[in-house]
Amino acid sequence: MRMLSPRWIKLTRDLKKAPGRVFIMLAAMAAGIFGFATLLTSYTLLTREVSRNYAATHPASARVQADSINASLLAAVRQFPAVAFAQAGASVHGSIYDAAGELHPLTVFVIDDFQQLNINTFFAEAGAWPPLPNTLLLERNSLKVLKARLNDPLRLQLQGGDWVTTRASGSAHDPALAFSNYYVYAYASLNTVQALGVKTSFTDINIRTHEPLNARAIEQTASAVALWLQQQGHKVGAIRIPPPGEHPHQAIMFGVISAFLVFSVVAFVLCAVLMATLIDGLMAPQLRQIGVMKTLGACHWQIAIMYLSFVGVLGVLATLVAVPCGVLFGQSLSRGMLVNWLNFNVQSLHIPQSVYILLVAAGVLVPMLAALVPIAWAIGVPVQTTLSYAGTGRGRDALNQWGAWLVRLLRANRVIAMALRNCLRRPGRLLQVVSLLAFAGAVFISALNVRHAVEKQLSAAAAQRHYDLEIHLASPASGQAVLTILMKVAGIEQAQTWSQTPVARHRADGLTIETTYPDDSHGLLSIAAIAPDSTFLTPAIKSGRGLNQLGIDEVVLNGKALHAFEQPIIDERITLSVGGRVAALQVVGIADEKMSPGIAYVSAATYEKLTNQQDLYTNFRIRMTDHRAENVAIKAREIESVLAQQHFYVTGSISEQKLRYEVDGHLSMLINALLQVALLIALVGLIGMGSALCGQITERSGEFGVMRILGAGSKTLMQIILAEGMFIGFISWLAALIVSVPLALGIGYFLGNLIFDQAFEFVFSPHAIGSWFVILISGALVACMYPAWKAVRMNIRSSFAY
Amino acid sequence: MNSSTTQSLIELSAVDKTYPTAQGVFPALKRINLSVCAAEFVAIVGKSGSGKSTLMNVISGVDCISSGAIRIGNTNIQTLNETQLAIFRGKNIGIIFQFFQLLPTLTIIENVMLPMDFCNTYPAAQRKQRAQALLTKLGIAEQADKFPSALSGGQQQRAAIARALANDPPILLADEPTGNLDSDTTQSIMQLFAQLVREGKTLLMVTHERDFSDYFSRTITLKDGQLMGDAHA
Repeated sequence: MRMLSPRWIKLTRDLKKAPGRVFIMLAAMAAGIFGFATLLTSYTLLTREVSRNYAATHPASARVQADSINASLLAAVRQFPAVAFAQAGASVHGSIYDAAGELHPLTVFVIDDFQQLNINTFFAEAGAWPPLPNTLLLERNSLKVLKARLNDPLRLQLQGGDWVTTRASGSAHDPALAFSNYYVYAYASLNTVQALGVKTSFTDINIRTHEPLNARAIEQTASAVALWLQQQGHKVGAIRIPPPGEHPHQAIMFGVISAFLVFSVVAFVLCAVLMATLIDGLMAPQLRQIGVMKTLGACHWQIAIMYLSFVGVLGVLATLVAVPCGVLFGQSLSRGMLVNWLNFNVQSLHIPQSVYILLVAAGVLVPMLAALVPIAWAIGVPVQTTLSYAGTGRGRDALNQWGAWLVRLLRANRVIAMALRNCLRRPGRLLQVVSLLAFAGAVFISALNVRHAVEKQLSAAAAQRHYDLEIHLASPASGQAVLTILMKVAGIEQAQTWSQTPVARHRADGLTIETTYPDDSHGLLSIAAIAPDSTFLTPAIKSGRGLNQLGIDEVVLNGKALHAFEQPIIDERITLSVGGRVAALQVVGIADEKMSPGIAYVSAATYEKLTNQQDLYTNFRIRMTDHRAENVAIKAREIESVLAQQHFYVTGSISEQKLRYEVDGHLSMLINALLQVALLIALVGLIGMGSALCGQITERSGEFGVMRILGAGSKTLMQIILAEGMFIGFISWLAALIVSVPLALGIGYFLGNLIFDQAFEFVFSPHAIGSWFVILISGALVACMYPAWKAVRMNIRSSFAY
Repeated sequence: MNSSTTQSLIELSAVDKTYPTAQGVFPALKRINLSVCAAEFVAIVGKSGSGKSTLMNVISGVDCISSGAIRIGNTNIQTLNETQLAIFRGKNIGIIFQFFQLLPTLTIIENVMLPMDFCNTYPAAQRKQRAQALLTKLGIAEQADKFPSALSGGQQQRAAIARALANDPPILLADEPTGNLDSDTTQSIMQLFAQLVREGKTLLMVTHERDFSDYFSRTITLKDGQLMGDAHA
């Protein structure tokens, strides 16, 4: 066999001599690549599967409410050139008890033909398909919400009718529905719904257009169908057009996916900085040998190839280990998010070849590119300098003066003084390590800051609501009568009526077009009445007047409603369609209401005028004297019972705690993802510091030998090295605080606008700062242990021989 | 390297070398004019800081000059870029250090093969044979497969000389090569150098030792960066 040439033998033996160091480098590279692979895989899968899951349901482009829907009418609608398919449908709302006796809002989708689902498709999961006569098909997540199994008795009422008992003979999966821990969704035939006490027929024509992603074309088509229906003598209600191609939770999911993308790029950059630090640590002890090789005739490129090849080989090894692990972890993470948090099915965990190519290229090339800088530095050092290299860098005089000043300032003892000066002896190296840790820290702090900001946003949203329970009656009742009963219940501090009804922007053709999803909840724009003296809802007022200062025909819009009206300004008029009636209202205020659908707030008098409802209410909000969740739950039962005795039937109630849980649940995946990313980045940063310290200790072996000769004990050496780590950790922590400000602002601006339509408020989370301090200092100690142990174990002879 | 026998092998013309320091520019070499012919054994002597090592460094191209010119054979080395200089140095100049500078993770024979590997002066199949022959010539053939740390100082310096001879360069530069050796070993190394000069090598050696004058064909004395003496034997 041909002998390996000496230069490669040298490289191989050098690496064999420092297995720990090579292992740390390999581990650091693998950690960086693992992080990048995990995040890129998650990004790839989430992007694809979210689109696929929603697209697979063939969501209706529009729903047109009309009367007298029959087969011939549907056939006529299908003849419209832009209509790809039309299908009859309806949805009825009611309440259902779960196994624990708690009420949940229920939506039953009325299905014309379970065997011919071409629009708003859902998929058989278990049990009967189609559902047996007089039974329901429950969405699979709703089974969990109800804590029920198939064929368990279900007590429910629909449209304010009588309470009936039925069962779910089958379950289905509907990826188009927004995931909920509270709302219950079911499917039934028209016969079943009628058997359950609802006198209804099909009320909607669901249309899917040939251009399902073209909002303008959809609106034109739906309008044309509606106008044609009117010409044919049909009564046309609202046209409901959800945002084309967008899942109800698209914005939040896109926020999460974008967060993944942002942090995968950040992890990638961090990985590159880490590589540069590691390679610099490797090159420093090799400087003298590089100088010798140059005197023997080695060209720069020959030396560069030697070390780049080594980095390349490590990159290949790290890639071989980290890419499959990262991809597997990313797949597992994505599957968990898709299944557990979004109620999606993962259709495929396949990762496209292009992703693998990108990962392998990144795994091999990024370390090599990052290594170019320290390798070029090492090769560029003049031979005569390398032959007398003592591990100090340029500019040391000034830094030594700083070090001396710092030592005097801190009145540092001998050990601290040596540690400080050792840290400052190679300013370039120090800057590199501090940059790495500062960047890692900044990302960690930013991730936790964003998490904190999200939580703060949720808390702020909750802080705007000052009631404990909202109840919904089966049918409108006299507000005065119900409030009188409620105020007699012990423990109720205050109760108010709450009126809310869907509205749409007024159109010249008289049609009412709403941007509502099939669940009649997400995307809804409504008007709500505020009692003059109400303190139950106190959103911050961004401009204009508050909710309690509204006159007739005046309106305050919240953030989501503002978007629906294309950003009107104060004193402008907006025109609404309320139940077919046109209302012109003057905008007098803009409310900063967090985590809320679009609501236009009007006075009770204006509301009565617009809806023609006088003292008739279905919703009531209640504030208790004892706000604890368990008390509210008990009181909710008591209120249901007391009202039922007076023939007012409660069909749903939601406590503040449940509402918070429901709202918070939307963002829990983002919060958890950010935490995981933060921890991963912290790990990468700490590995970098350990490796850099290893390099510093190795190149100062001779000094340790001298110190030993001069009487330094193992304890002293260990203290010096640990103090160095602590010092680097501390200044990195300070630097991280500074770097995290612009980073957190940037990320908060991007993600905040994406999710909440406004930048996250910048807050320095004390928890984040404190956590990073603890992680960094304890990590620094752990990272220093190995080099310290190595230095202590090195005998004097071998320290000089190095 | 081609050079006619009438022409000097190494020619320094008005060479200046300065270093910037915090106190200002420090002149390490001042207008050095020097000519060295083939097969000369030149001692460069002088006190510490007189510029001996700097002179060796600029001749080997390890350090660049501030002004003037250095010609080795027919090549003006200040015109070469880093890569050209490395190849030129590898093929034409063997450098011997006071502290040997053998690469610690290579065996002795591998250290000797390294210059041939970098400069590709001999076919790969012949390198080991040539390295072995050089080690035999220097009397350390039995140490070929040992690592430098297992050898005495004298043996390491012989290995370093073998390495310097690996590409059969016409010029050898030795910077205090015996400064780290005992007197017996020093004598044997000096005899070895003398033999190499007899075989046609040109050898420039920085030394503090005055006792070796018998070996040298010429002694150059430096003081404060200036050429103060040039005595031929």
